Amino acid sequence: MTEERARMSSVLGATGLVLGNVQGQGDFEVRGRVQGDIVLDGRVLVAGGALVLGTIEAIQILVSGTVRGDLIAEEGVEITGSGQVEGNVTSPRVAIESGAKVRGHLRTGDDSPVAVRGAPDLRPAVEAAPSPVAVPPVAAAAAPVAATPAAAADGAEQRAAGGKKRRRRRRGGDRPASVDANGPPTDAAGTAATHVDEGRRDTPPLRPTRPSAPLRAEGTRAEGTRAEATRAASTLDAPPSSDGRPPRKRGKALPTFVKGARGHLRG
Amino acid sequence: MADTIISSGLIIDGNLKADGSVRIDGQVLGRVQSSAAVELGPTSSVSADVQGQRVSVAGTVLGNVQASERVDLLSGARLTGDVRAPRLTIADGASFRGKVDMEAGHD
Repeated sequence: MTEERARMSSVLGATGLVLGNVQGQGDFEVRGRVQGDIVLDGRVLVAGGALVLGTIEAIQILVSGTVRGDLIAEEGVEITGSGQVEGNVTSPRVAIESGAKVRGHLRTGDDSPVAVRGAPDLRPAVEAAPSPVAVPPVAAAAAPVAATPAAAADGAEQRAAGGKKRRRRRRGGDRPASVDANGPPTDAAGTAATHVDEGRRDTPPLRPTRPSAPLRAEGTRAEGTRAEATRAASTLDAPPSSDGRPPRKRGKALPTFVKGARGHLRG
Repeated sequence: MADTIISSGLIIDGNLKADGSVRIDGQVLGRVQSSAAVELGPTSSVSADVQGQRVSVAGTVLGNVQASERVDLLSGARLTGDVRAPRLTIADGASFRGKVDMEAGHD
């Protein structure tokens, strides 16, 4: 306890409450509650059990408690397993530990508006949570197949399959447009959180792959689509699959959030 | 060591309240309230009321100081405001401008 406090020059005790903004220089550890913005030229630690209702702007931010507000860090943001963040996170590096709850926009990488100081990639630290099992080649190639042929097969099977079918088509249709085709800005960031998020997204299309077997019965048209899709898969899916995402259990081991169409993370 | 420490360089633009002890070397532009000891270091500056069980002042305070036990104005302290406390010491070199109320019965 004493050592920790020596590290952080300012501490707001567990019973402490700040009603107003905090600014200036030096490190600041919040164990209590801050209702206001924190703008510091230093590190900010939101300890477990602590609550910050307001924006935090600092060099580095470590969150083990709860923050309802945006996080903007010049160097890095780390959200530990007990951390909860409801707000947008902007920093060149962002690490989100398994168990953390994050809800908001996530903006990382070199294009983030804050200064970048060429810090090393944090990806391995967060990806340690899922076991790095390589995606089976078939699954990797077939994932996008589910997208296009599923749409093609819908004409024949839509009425029979009903709601489940429709859901499948929607997923299949959404994915290539929002993740693979328009993905680059987020993907390029190459951060742990983005990959984690992508993993979650990829999971649903993997499941419909097997039911989509009837496609072959459709003959040449389906085959042609499939060939195209496979080709597309080799180009579109190549970077994500080379990261060694494991096929299924990954969704459970990782922080539970899903990136929505507008880039929201849900805890 | 105090539960809450506001080191020099840190500015709190608002009120600070705590049940534990508070040590301030930075700046607080609002009230400081604690049910335990409040220590205002030489570099500290508080521009509103300070309330605590024991309040020791070595920095600058622009506001009233109230303590349930005692107030100590240390050397180098600059206090502009009233003091309400059952006990009060003013060290040599402290500057104080305001009223003193040492009557028991309040806080």
